[in-house]
Amino acid sequence: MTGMQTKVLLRNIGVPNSHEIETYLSRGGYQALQKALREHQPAEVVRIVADSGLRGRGGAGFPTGRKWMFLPKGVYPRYLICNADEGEPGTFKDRVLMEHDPHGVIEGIAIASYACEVHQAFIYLRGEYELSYHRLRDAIVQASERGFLGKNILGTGYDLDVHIVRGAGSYVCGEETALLSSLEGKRGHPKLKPPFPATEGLYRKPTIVNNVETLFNVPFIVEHGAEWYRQWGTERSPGLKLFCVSGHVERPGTYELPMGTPMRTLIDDLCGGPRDGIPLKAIIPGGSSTPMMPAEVALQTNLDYESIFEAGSLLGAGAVIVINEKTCIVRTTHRLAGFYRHESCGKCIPCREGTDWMYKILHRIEHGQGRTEDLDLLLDICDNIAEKSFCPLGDAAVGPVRSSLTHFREEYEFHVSEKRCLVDG
Amino acid sequence: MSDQTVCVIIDGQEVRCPAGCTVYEAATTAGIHIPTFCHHPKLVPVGACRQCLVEVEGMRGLQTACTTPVRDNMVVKVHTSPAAVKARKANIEFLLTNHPLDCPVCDKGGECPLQNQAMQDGPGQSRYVEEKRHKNKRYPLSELIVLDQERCVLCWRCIRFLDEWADDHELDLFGRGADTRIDTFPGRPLRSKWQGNTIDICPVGALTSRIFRFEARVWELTNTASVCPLCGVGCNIVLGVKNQKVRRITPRENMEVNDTWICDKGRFAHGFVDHPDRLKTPLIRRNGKLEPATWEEALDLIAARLNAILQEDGPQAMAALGSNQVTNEANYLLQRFMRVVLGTNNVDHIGRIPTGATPLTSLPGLEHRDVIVLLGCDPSTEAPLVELWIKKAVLRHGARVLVANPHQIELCRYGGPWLGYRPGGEVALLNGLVRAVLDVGAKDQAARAANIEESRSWLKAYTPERVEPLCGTPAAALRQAAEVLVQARRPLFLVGPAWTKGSGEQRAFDALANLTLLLNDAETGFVAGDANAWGALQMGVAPHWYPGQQPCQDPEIRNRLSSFWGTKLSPVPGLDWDGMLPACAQGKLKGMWIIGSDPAHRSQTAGEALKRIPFLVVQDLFMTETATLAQVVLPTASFAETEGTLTNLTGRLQMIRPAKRPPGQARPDWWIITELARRMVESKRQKSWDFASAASVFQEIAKVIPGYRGLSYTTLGEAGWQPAPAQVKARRHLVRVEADPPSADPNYPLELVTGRLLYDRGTLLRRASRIQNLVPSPYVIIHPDTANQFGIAHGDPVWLISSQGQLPFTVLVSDEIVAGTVFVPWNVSDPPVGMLVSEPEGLTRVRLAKQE
Ligand SMILES: Cc1cc2nc3c(=O)[nH]c(=O)nc-3n(C[C@H](O)[C@H](O)[C@H](O)COP(=O)(O)O)c2cc1C
Ligand code: SF4
Ligand code: SF4
Ligand code: FES
Repeated sequence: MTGMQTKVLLRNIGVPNSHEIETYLSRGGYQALQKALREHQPAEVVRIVADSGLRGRGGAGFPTGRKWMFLPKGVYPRYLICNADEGEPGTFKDRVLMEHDPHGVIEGIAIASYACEVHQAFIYLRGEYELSYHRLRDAIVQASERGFLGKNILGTGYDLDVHIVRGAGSYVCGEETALLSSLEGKRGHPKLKPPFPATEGLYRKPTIVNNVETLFNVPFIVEHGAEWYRQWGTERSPGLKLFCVSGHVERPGTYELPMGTPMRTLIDDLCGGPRDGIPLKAIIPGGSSTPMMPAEVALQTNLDYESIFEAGSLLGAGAVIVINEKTCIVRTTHRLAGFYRHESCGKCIPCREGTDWMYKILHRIEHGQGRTEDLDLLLDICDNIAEKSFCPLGDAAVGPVRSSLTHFREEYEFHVSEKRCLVDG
Repeated sequence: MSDQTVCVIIDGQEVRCPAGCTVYEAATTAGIHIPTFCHHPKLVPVGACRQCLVEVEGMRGLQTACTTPVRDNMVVKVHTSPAAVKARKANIEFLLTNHPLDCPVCDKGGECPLQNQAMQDGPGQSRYVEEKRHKNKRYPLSELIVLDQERCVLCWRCIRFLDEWADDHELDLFGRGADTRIDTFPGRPLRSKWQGNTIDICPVGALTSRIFRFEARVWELTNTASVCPLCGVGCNIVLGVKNQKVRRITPRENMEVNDTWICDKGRFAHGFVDHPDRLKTPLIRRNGKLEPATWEEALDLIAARLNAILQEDGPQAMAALGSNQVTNEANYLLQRFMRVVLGTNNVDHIGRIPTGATPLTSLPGLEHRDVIVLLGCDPSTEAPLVELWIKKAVLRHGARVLVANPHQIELCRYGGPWLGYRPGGEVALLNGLVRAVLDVGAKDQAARAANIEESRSWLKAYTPERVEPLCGTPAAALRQAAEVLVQARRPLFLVGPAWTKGSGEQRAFDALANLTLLLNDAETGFVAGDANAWGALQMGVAPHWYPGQQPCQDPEIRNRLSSFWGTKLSPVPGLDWDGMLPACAQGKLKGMWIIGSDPAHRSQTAGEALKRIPFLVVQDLFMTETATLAQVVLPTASFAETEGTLTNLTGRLQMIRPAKRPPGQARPDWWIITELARRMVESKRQKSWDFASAASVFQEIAKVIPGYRGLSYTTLGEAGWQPAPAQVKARRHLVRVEADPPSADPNYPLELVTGRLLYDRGTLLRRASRIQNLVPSPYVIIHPDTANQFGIAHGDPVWLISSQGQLPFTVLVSDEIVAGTVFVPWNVSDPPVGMLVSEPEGLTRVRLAKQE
């Protein structure tokens, strides 16, 4: 059934030695870079990417070409950052690319850098990604040896250095402005926006921050054109997307699908359906910060930004977390709240205090000390954090709490009144 | 911010404000209150705490007022937006969830923004039933400040103040999320001399003063606006008094002086005011011992003795020393007494500002100087607020700071270059700079001197290479400095008292004027280290000057003042301090009155000379070394107990006001002088000495000093009065000033350099608790070459020996001092380093010997 998967982005995955430059070259690698450098002015590359309708794969779905066009004219140096922090629970798609197709990532960075007139690019890599680090580092060395990076790339006069910077284990450092602080050697605190990074980013210079997968798409688009890319997906969510599925399915993993594919295709066809046939209760469609959906609702939607939004959640980074009926929603939420409490950077009051408070309340409920009024209190705390916090981590923390209380309130009520879990029997 | 104004509507009210200001600022101008925590008007907005959320029509969600710039016709809802009101209320609730709520024992209680905002905008009741977080509650960050991490709301104002103003990155956030804490770096307590300001700007009681802690509830304090007496800046302060004791000092905003900041010395050193050592009654020497007496006895005795000296030896047998630490009123009356009642011009004070010096024209103006040159001047220790203004110029506008000083001072941290020199080498150094500026600057600079052509010949001898052996300054540093000076748009030269000691006043200033005339828009200002140095000079506590620096030699002025004061003023030139010393030693001076200074402590020569005076009267706060030599000691009121004015280093007149009663029988200086005068003048002239208050003395001062006409305490008010800057005649001609050859003495091969530390063991600070723990033990800094020469190593105990005596020190070997000199801080050793100095004070040469 895996045959139903589109294999464009993931075409090299599973090929022996896919991470070596020979393999990559033998499969047509670095053609797009040559094409970009030899046949296009930087602005033309920007245009092509804009026309393709590619949207950021880091979670927010911001149109990539549009972001590149925000770069202020005539201000140099500019920097490009490949956001490889991949810290959100449920996400592991970038890791697959970096470990098994690192040259694809490098080529994407190189073309994007050329388009943005950047000569110094950084990969901000999740600290724990040991293998990714080695694969990317080797890929940079190999690419430099072959003249795809460094000075005078392919004899075109274009120079680019790519540096890897490893994060120190903070989720918020995946947020682009916190990432900038961290990269500058400061505490991983998000910064005020505006100014947006594209106008004033790293060391107060224009900076493009893009997700790994976003950049990975770029060589394909440049090589085959915007129209080609638009053969997949919907008008507003064009192209291909990776979905990393975890939880109660037969075959969790990373899958590639055109945007707009029904959720059911992903769950039932690609992932082999619910594990052990146990019916599903809930699906978190885009990573831990996107609202939880009742499974029956989620399974009715299509996998594109608009459809999922209409159904009450977010596509996010495409990290689908599948939860079956034997799972306690209160405990799941308690775990997620613990994550956000731990990852709040502490800069702003609503997130710092709110995540702590929510976690403590959930802890009580989970341990049989809940009070009836706690449920509305939790919802009110959510309301007091959401859109009040400094950066979107606050909103992210609210996601699972509010949605689980909305859709599975009876589980909470059972916990409160019976002092035990509904599913544990 | 542009000059354009825009119109915004806040809660239905139309508000005009400058374009580019924030919603918070606009609301504040309109009197609309928006609560804040992280925002502080003196710090760069960070938008962190989210307390100031408001609704702006057309913008999604809520906005932080402190970071959102206004746009024309913007519609803002602060108190009329239910969503914003709820958000702000919720934010307070959030903050209070883990706040210890120990207001009843918190120093901030009563002036706490959190408390006020919780009352005003917070929910009445908490919904929080969980266990509160626990962090460090009594956590000393330094000798002076203790942190309560549980009270802290993590606004990081404290960190930002130290970063943005003090440039002392000593505090930071540690941990994250709910576990975030403010802390210092491991093993490195706060050392910033500005740390006390963090207490003021902390919006809760997280940072408290270890000196004020638990001394009083703030509402029990009586607050009096005054001025700090500890340096020439004269920071505006508030004295908080409870039960006749000064409990704390906090800054008072004055944009012309100290903005809203004060240094830690000014804030924490007030312990001397209420110290048990304060003199409380007059003392009269009986049978060789100083014994308590009444004011009647003491004043009668002084009057009788002075009258007797007048009869037997005449007016010139008497002299007085005023002080650049006491008020204008006291100094004025003292010279008036000497000139009018005794008939002598023998009046002076120690540390008189050198002739030729002009006051700095403006403190905030420092911010807009692109190059600041420090000549023998260390603002960080001598006039700390000057340092803060310099840092502002550096941090916000990239100013350069050139430092000419025998040793590296703190402000060398901005890259200098540091022009190390040996005392006595000042003229050589300046000539070297003149020459280098002409060399690198070419035409522009030369064109400014009318006599450039004939000057070139004498300047030939001052190439940087030839200057280096004369003063010890490396040629490369001179050239580098010249490059900076040539580029300067508005350089400012700050001159300290040390600058004129080695080469003499006239020559030091002439050589400096040669340099400044070549530069673009250069200004020179003297940085007086003492609180009333300009005042003492202005009041005429100088043998050759009447008040207002009117020359005593001018008969017309003498006649005018004679008729004003109703006496015939003596035309006999008076003795200055340098002249009084030999006169004492030779037995020519029979009587002397010293107010607010301790010459015996400063030099051995002075102590010896004063011992020979038959009748010495000392008026002071404490039993100083000089006082122990006196026949009569008079207890005086401190700055916290008297009314009067001080003149700061920009010539600004500012008022101090009594915040409490003086201890025991101590009396204000003006009262003492007046009482004594009334005992000595015949009854028909009593009226000219009927000053009822310091204010009436000031009224007379305002009549006598031409520039002060029309001033009164009322016009000075709380902010003080700034004179128009002195008009300095722009010079067009280079004056030939030749450098001295380096002095040499095989017995004493090293030049002694002394300098102040911020915290020392001087008369006042010695009595300030905790501050004393910050004073280092006595040390001498020597250059590695000197160490080799004398076979001495870092940490060795040594004797420092001059022709006057020897003192023990511990050696610090450092290349942050010019070879051939040694540095010893003032007022740290006991006996004082003054023991090695001979008067008249010029240069002191020393040698080193290892202690056996
Ligand atoms: C709390 C938080 C964590 C984030 N973590 C990541 C991450 O690990 N990787 C990522 O690409 N984007 C992450 N983002 C999104 C980035 O801020 C940014 O939008 C993205 O890197 C932009 O790239 P794109 O336009 O290619 O998606 C995070 C955002 C938030 C608020
Ligand atoms: S919402 Fe606030 S505390 Fe939370 S991570 Fe963002 S800035 Fe930090
Ligand atoms: S100690 Fe005070 S000023 Fe510093 S962060 Fe905490 S509350 Fe703010
Ligand atoms: S006061 Fe505006 S966010 Fe803190």
